[in-house]
Amino acid sequence: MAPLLLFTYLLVATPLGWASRLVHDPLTRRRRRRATTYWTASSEGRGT
Amino acid sequence: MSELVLGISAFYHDSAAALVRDGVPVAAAQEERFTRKRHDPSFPAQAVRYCLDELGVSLGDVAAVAYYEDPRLKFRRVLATLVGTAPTGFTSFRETLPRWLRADGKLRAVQVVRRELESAELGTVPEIVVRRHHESHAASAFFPSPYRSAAVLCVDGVGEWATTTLWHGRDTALRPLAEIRFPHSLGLLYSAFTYFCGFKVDSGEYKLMGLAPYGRPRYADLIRERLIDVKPDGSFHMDMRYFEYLRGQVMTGRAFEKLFGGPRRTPEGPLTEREFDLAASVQDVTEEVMLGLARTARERTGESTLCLAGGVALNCVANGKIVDSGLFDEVWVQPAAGDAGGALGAALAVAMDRGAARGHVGSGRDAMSGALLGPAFGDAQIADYLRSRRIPYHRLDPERLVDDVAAALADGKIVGWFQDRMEFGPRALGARSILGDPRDPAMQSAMNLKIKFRESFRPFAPAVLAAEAKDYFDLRQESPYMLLVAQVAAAQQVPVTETGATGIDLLRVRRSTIPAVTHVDGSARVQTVTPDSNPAYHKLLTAFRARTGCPVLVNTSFNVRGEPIVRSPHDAYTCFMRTNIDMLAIGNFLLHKSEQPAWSEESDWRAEIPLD
Repeated sequence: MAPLLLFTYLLVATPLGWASRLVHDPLTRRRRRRATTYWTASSEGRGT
Repeated sequence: MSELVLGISAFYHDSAAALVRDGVPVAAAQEERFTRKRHDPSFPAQAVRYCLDELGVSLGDVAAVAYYEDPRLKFRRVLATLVGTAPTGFTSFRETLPRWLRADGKLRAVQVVRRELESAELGTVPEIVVRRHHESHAASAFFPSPYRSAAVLCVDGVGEWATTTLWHGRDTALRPLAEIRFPHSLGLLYSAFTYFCGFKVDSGEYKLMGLAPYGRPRYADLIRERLIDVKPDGSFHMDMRYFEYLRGQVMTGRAFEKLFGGPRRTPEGPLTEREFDLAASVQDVTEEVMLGLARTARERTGESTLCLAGGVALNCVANGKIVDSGLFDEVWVQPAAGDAGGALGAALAVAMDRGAARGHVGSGRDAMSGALLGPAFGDAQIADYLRSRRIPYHRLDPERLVDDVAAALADGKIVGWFQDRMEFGPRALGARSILGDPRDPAMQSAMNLKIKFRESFRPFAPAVLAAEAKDYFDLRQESPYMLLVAQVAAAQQVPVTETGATGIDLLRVRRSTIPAVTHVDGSARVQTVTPDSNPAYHKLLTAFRARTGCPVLVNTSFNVRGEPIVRSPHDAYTCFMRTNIDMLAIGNFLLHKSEQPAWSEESDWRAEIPLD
């Protein structure tokens, strides 16, 4: 199981992670210095 | 024809089941009370069985089962986190992914719930409906509250994506307004400090809050500068370079250690000034954020009442600050504000969708029945247990029992108090409580070390007759669920002699006429008791006041450190015999320790209960 997970991690998750971070900030880690608020419109509602 | 909805929360921590009839909570319990494993995350099979038994119904009589979070949406967040942190998070990837993807994994939580319900053979399983984590919290906060409309604020670690949500509740509807999303989480910030100070995450946060008054908030500015950017509206953004929870199974790492002058405290290691000050600092920041969030809730909704839920709503010091701020006329906090309450919230949300009403609104009371939603044991059941074990007891009429217990308490005795239905939520509210005399300066230390076997710094809470609460505490409103901290009233304060004491030694300084429940900063976590919320408990407080002039008792949960609160007569008797509790009042039976046979166990019970 562990080798398969390592393989998936290195060959799928890692390139995908790099690529996604190039085009946007999926975990909103970058600080928005000019932001006046960090509230966002709600996505809450019914479950999937 | 009444309609039943069963709510379930499971597979993270504090699994629970709750049954709602026509929009009113009628039974609820946490699985830990049955399995005796604290914060038990397993499927709440016994709690479900209890809820159905309480009403004498089967699953076939239930219209719908509500699950408290959306597993698929939560998995998307987990996946985004694993991918978003690659290549630095393989450990987390290796440990997390299989847990989600296996046949009985978290991704298939709804199917697992169905399978578990079917295998329990409790009747035909109805449709299972999913509600989002924060919707469940919001529903648990608003629908049972006494208000026709209110602002609703939910703050926790994380559910699916949301960590903080703001809602507007009106009649039987909840409208989502705004949110803050993972990884930016006030709950996880607090948990990071809990971890760094050597306490367990999702358990030790309460200890950190209790530790805060011993320290000075000298790190608060550093936290604001480096860890969390807080806007005036309470919204916040955290600098994830200082936290490890995105890529590992721990909360903090080297960057955090560098910032706060060395490695984390070893669990059970000595507490130093650094931990006191870290606790004070993160508490200070938490209160600032909560006040900002509350201010925004007021502005965005225009409401004069606020409902709170989510794990951070168990931070009763922050709750007290919101009440003291006067932002709202009144604040109501769901007594099971953590994930256990999600079971109740999910059930309520589904019930309201199906057309239930909020019949209690307008009565001035909430719909929680004093949080006494768990199992009760009648005198016949208690007598059977006592006789089967040949346990010596005195059977008394209720008035005599109350009088004898009040006399024992006034005489400095410590009493186990087991009456009526068990509480739902983390606090003991006078149904499964250990009680003592708050006037005794030695009581706090004695109860911590000889009864609870827990850390000496931890404070105890007072229960007070609601009608006399203002004579003892600066409390702007009732606090039926012990979720508000207030200062001890000036009339009860005594001149403090300057001793130069610091840290834990501050405990020895007498500050009020009720020193056993007065924390080192002069505060107390108050429970106000009314005759309708808990009649037997109210009578006991009244009898104690008649004897002593003091309408206050020390109230702590009926358990020892690391153990869930007792549920049954057997649990209560075992705890009574393992500890230095002097007397046990269980139903109409009074047990004196001096009359009990010697207690022996084959193994060391303390070694079997994991420390919390």
